[in-house]
Amino acid sequence: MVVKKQLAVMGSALALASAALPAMAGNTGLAFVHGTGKQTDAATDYWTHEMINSVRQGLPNQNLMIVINCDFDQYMWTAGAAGCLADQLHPFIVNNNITDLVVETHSNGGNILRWVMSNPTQDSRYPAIINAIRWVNALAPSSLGTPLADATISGNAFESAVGWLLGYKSDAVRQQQTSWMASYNASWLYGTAGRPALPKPFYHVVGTDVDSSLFDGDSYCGGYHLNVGLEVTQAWLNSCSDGFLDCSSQAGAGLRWFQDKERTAEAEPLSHNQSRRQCFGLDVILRNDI
Amino acid sequence: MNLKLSMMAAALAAACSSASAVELLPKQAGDLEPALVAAAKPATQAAKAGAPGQSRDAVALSWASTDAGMAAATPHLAESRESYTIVTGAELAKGVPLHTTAPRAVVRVQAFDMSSPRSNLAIHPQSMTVIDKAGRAHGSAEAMEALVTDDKLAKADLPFAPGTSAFRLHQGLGAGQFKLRADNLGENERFLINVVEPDSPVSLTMQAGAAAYLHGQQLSLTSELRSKDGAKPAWSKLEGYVMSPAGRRFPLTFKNGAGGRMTAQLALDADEELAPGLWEVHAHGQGKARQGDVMRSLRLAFPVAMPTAKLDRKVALADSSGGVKVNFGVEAAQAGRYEVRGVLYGTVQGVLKPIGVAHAAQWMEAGSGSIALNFAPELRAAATGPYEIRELFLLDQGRMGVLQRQQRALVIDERELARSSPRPEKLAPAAPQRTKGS
Repeated sequence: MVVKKQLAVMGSALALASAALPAMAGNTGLAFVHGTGKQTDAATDYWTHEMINSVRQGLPNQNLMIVINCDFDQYMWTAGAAGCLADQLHPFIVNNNITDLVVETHSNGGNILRWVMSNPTQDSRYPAIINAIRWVNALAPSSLGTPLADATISGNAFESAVGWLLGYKSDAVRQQQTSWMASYNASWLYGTAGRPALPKPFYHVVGTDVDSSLFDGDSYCGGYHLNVGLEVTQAWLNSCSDGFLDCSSQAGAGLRWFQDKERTAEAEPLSHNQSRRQCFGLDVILRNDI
Repeated sequence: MNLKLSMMAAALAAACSSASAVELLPKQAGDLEPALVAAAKPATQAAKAGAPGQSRDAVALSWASTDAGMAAATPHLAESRESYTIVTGAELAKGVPLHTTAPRAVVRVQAFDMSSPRSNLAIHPQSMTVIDKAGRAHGSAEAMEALVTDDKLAKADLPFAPGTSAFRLHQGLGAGQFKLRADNLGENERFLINVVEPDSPVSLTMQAGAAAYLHGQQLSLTSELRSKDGAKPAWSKLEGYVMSPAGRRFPLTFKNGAGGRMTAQLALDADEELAPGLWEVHAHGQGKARQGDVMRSLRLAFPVAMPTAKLDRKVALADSSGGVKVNFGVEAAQAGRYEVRGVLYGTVQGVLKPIGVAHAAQWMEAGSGSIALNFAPELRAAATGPYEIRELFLLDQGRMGVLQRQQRALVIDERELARSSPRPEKLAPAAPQRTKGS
């Protein structure tokens, strides 16, 4: 018991000491963190191999890459969400001596990463993960939630008012309601306006529009049907949105990297589904960032 | 066992001869502080799925942060430009009212019946009719734009429930009161009608009096019907209730307040089986604006915690090899994983500025204990005293409770700090972070 406690204290002291140290000579790694949903093969089903294989070309050693597969239908703080992320990311960092980790997150994946970085004492593995991170590229993060989450939960809430009775499948959506994210941003999460900075840079990439014209080939990148749905859901959102999130939500935490049209090929917008796919040169932008 | 631990703690305290006492500043308006501590009821098996993982390891971390804000804990202002109504198939056959205050409202129709697959009950927008103020019936071709069937929404991988379709009222119809009609539905089938008016100047707002509450405290709510056009919409009614995470419902009574606002109060009873998530206000308001009748529905989330622990106001500086280490006394009503976090401010060129953030969490049994917040020495490199610890939080990590929050918590004099943790002769600043511009 005493030994265990001493080890814990040592761990704590180590974490404290190393937090401010520069990255020692080690390896550069790359991690992809998906958004809401339970993924078992996110490389195929969420990101696509074309996207991943293009981005990883920026790595000195292309093998030092991990695609996270977790159940992000759960609340961000659960063992199945942030805990699962640590289950996969921590051994990847330790076993490969990663000291310079670039993390690409999409949508709610940004919230899960922000949870880990804002709550480093929840799990003894979190400080090591934070120390290894160079920066997070948060692609269309739902940092301030989305009115669409409110709308979808409202439909279900009438049937069963008790959230958890609906099952955890809806928990991530519930958590991304605007007033829920406002509450968590005010006390548990960092990086939003008026709150302390995150321990490592969290750069957001903002999708500003949805193009779903049948006659425009650009609508087909990422899947035409996906974009048709998103164009309609824009009605719930502000004039600047990617079809699922207002631009203000995507830009609500961390540091500005770019808005889609500033960097994409032919200044094409990135819809919410396109910001995780090989669309309009996004993969090359991410590759060159490593 | 407990006695042994207490003796060890006493011996440790005596050994720390360099520790010196400082005082927690008095509570200010907007701070959250439990009056007493009380144990929370355990979670049901079903609710445990949403709980955080609970490690027994003590973990601490600090990092440089020079842009920590000093924003007060402003409660979120919820704003709605939409309404929800539940109707039956029989009502839809007669026509149900759609109140709009701006052109191009979005109408979402969701089948509710649980007795059969809801996707089978979805109403195709093309089979719906919109009736205008003059009683003229318009088919989908002239009344609707941007139709989405339930299968398209499903293909878009959106989280709408199966059996949901949507359309946007055609610009040419303008605003006002319409009726939505659909035939060939089961009389008792239920449907949710969600009318969203993104372009409406009229909204319903609601704000709680605090960003976080504790069991036994009084929730105060203020609600307003606002219009961007400067006119003041008149209330017809506002009703609602509060729903706890475990599913208990508390009715709200709204009263007329100052400036045309409506207010409600509720004594919060959070002594219930633990369930993950937030408390929610569900409210439905009706009123009359310059544009016509207005209907708005709104939900507002806020946290309520059982006061499972509190800072006992015993605070002491301790040696940390040149850093700033503060032991905070904690009184816990029950065992759990508790966390203290805060922002350290230091004097930089005569101005008090944020210089770092520290967190510390550990498992504590019921009773008295302490948690040490340790800001690494390098955070002091560019600053001198006086220092302040602000944004001090006590959190119940395992039960996701915000137990205590103090905006200004502690003032630490340089000489006082030097007695417990002398400034090293050579103090290198924290290594700068790599950024995209560097």
